[in-house]
Amino acid sequence: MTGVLPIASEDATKAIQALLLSGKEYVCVMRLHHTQPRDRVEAVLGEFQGTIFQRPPVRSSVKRRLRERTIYYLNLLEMKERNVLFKVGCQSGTYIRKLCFDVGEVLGCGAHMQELRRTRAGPFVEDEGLTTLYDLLYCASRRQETGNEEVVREVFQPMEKAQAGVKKLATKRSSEKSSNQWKKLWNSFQKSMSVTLRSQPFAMEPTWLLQEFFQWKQE
Amino acid sequence: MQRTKAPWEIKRELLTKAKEKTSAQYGCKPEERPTADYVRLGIINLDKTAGPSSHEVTAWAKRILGLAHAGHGGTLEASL
Repeated sequence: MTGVLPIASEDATKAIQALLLSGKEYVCVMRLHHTQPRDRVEAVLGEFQGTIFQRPPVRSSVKRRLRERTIYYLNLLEMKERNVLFKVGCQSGTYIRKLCFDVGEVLGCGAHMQELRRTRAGPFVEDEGLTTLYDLLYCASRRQETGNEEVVREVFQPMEKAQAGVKKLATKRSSEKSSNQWKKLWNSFQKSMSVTLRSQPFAMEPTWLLQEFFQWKQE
Repeated sequence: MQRTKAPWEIKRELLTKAKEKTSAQYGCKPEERPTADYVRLGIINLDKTAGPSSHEVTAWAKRILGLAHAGHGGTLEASL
């Protein structure tokens, strides 16, 4: 299992909460236990788009009760003999190993997950600044040799990126947070959020923003 | 079945009701932070290798860069 694993340092660990709940995208190789025609596999994979039910596997870190998960898309990319390569965009907490098994059950021939690579975790994607452990080592050794702290900048991205998918609300510094107008605005904003992160306003003070008053609107 | 749009497929727009300037005295843009702060408030988009667990990889990254704390977003299974 390889791919995108966002690692937050020190104070950014608090910002990573948003990533745990955000959607993921994977590229997966599924091994069928018998050969199947391509169009049939494609049709069955298509059926898994939308809401599915899943029970977490025996070895998992969450309670094993049936839960609902959304599959945003599930596209067949390539097929060779019994190997099926597909791309899946799913809600956080979807077990792909389980998904492969279930696809195999529906096909009637059985299947298992052969290989998995995560290509997206929330706003973090594979083609934007993906670093390997070797890059980190190289960076650290260059820092040691040159004594230049600046070199480590290239492996980091600002923690604000983790919040890219979270709706934001900014108000003027002068606005009273206790005023009725503000409360009304905050309530309607909270109602428009699909996921509530605790009950506290999940926003950082956007002092660097020129427009101090903006709001995300869902399409 | 009806397909649900993935969060990253949804286009969001910025609604500006009023504009105001801020003083540069209060913080700076995330990209312009001094290196110490940039690292302290930074996230690494790491390509996990097959074999070690997410927790191990996080611990290694922490040790390599000499960070005080590190945490990862979303566990990736270790095996294979």
